[in-house]
Amino acid sequence: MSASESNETVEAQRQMLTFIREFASHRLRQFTNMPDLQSIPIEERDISYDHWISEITLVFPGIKLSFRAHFSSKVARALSQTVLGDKSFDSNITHSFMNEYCNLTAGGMKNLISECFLQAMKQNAKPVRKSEPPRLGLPRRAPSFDAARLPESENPKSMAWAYPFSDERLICVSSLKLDLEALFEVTAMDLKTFADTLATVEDPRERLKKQSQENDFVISV
Amino acid sequence: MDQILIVDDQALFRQAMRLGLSAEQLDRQLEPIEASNGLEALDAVRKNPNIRFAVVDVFMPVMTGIEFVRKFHEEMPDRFRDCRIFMITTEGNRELRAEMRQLGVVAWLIKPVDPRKFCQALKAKYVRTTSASAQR
Repeated sequence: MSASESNETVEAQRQMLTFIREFASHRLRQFTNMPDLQSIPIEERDISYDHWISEITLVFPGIKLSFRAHFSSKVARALSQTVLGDKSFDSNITHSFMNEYCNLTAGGMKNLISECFLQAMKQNAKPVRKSEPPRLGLPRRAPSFDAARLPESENPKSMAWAYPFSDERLICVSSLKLDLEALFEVTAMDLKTFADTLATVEDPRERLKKQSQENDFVISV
Repeated sequence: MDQILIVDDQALFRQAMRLGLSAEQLDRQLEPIEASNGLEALDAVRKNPNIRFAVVDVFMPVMTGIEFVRKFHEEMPDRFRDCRIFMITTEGNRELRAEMRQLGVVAWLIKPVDPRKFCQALKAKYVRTTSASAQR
C-alpha cells in the first residue's frame, strides 16, 4: 500500500473527521441535555477575540487525533449552566465544562477507535507490528491568542465547526496526523477500510449500558 | 457526620455533585469533601475517618483514581472495607474494571454521569444503610 496521499486517502480522512464532528455533537447533546443542538459551518478564518481553548490529544499506532474547543467565558458560562443551573460560579468551574467536554469526546473516540483495532486484530491473523496501547492526554486549558486561526476549509486533515450559544459560538476543531504505513502494519487496513469500520463499530459505552441492565457493577446514570 | 469524598480533576463535576447532594438533601447526612486528584484523595481519607462514600474519576493528573483505590486498599484495608467506592469514567477497559471489582469497588459508572440521578440512586440504595454496619 502506498503511503502517499491518494484521492481515496484524502476522502477517507474527511470521512473520519466528519465522524468525529458527529460524535462530538452527540456528546455535547448528551452532556448539556440539549437534544436539538446541531453544528453549523464556519465561514471566516480568523476567530481571534481574546478567548480560551481546551484541547486534548489521543494517540494510537498510526493515528494522532487532537480535539480543540475555542470558547469565550460567556459561552462557558452558558454551557456550564446546563449542568449547574442558573447560579453564578467562578471561571475555574465554568471553564472546566470545556475540559470535561473534550474529555468526554476524546474518551468516547478512544473507545471507538480501540474497537476498530480489536476488530482488525480478530480479522487479521498476523499483523506486522504489535499494537501499542492508546494514549489519551489530559485536557489542557489555555488562553488562545496564538492559536486563533482555523484550518483552511480544503485541508483534508482538519475540520472546524461551531455550535451557536448565547449570541456567540463554541468552535470545535479536530485534526488528524496519520502514519498510514504504521496503521497498516498493525491493522492490515487501508485508511478507507479503517474509516468505514469506525462508522459501523459498536460503541463500547452502549454495550456497557446494555450490560448494566444485567449486572449491578457497571452502571449508566 | 458521615462524609462523601468527591474525586475529579474537573471543578465543574465536583460542583455538580455538591449541587446534586444538596438537591436530594443528602448534604444533611453526608458532608462533601473534594479532591482534584488521587494524591489529594489519599490525603483526605487519611485525615477524615468518617468518609463512607467516594466518587472517583479514573484519569486525573498527579495520581489516577485507579492508583488511589489501590493505595487506599493497601494502606487502610479496614477503612477501605467500610467505604463504598464508585468509579466514574469513559474508559471501557475490562481488565481495570475487573481489578477494581475484585478490590471491592461498588460500581463502575459510565460517563457522562448525571450527578443528580447518581445522588438519587445513592439515596435510594445506600444512604439508609449507612448507620447500620457496612456489609458487602
